[in-house]
Amino acid sequence: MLKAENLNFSIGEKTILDRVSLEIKQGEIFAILGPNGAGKSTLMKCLSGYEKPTRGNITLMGQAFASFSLTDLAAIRAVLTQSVSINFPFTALEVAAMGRGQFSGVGQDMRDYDIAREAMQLTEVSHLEERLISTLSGGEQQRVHMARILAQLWDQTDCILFLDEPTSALDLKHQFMLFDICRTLASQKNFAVVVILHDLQLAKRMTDQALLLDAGKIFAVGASADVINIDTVSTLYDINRSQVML
Amino acid sequence: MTFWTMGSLGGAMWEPVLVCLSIILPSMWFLTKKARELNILLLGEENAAYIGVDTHKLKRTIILTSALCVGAAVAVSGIIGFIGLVVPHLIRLLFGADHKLLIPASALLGAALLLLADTIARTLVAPSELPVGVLTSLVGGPFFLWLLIKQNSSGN
Repeated sequence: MLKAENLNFSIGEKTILDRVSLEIKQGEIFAILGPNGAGKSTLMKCLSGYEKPTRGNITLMGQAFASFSLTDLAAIRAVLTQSVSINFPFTALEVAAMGRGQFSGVGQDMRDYDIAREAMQLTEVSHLEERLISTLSGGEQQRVHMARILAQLWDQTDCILFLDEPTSALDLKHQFMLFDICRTLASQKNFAVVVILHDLQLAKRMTDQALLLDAGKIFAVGASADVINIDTVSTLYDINRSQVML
Repeated sequence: MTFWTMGSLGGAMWEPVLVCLSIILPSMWFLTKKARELNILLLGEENAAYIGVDTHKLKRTIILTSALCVGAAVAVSGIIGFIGLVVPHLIRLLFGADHKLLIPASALLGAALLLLADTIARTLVAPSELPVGVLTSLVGGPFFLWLLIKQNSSGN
């Protein structure tokens, strides 16, 4: 579904990504792992089309990335960024419904709100729909934004989801909820899910493929269950083998 | 000229009102049409782009249209401060941040508030009259400060 070849990304002299190639298939959950500053978020921004790589090619569904317009892209891929801060008095429902931006243009019709409500039910924030987004806790806000992302691609199949540390503010129960949703989308709607994680146990258990990134280079890539092991983790994160818990 | 720099509706005539209206009404219609994209823009430019909003184009057209609106109004009324600054904030506090309501409501409440201020300015020191800009600055300045402090303390 998404293929990247020899991606390079640099800002001035600093190289953030160095010859990264990968392939993400439909129906699969793909983890991007690595220490702070390894280039995970930058890689995701390149793959999701927000940043243009300095060198290298990305193809989405066999077509060059540049051939997709903003609205084309919005109909097949959605992105949950690390943190979204809204300092304006919107209700949780209004925020979730914003995900429906590209479809109906001007009028926010009832159908969009219905979809937003259904998405909020999935991420278990229905009871908060009338609350102002700024009054919710970090985890609750994260689930509302997750609902917004799901609403964006509602009723679609063969899409791609990008999640940048989606579990950072979630309790254990809702971490499982999130991966349940991802797994269902992957198996029933043929979605590909790309997720940046710091919890390696969770990554090993819940994802299919993993890419380990070290200072912008690929450290290891392959099936999560194989590639996330004591050897790779202790070397990549520069910790003792006895400190690794998987 | 002095009255223009201090802001006054004293020179009101039908002709400039019509000219003004012919610019402001279409601009307002256009801005209200963009309400939903403006709402999405509040998620930040990156997130708005992911939802399919062309943020560069949107920013350009919004700045142009609002400049046109403001230009038309200020050309005939002179510099009347604080109404435009205070009213949208007030509406957000009262009715929420949805631009679909915010834009027309700001126009209506702004006009109503200006009319009230103008009436007071004309009657306060009758038979002579105060430039309305002086009055709005006198009342609007402290009010805006209060709004700023209030939002800061409740925001964080």
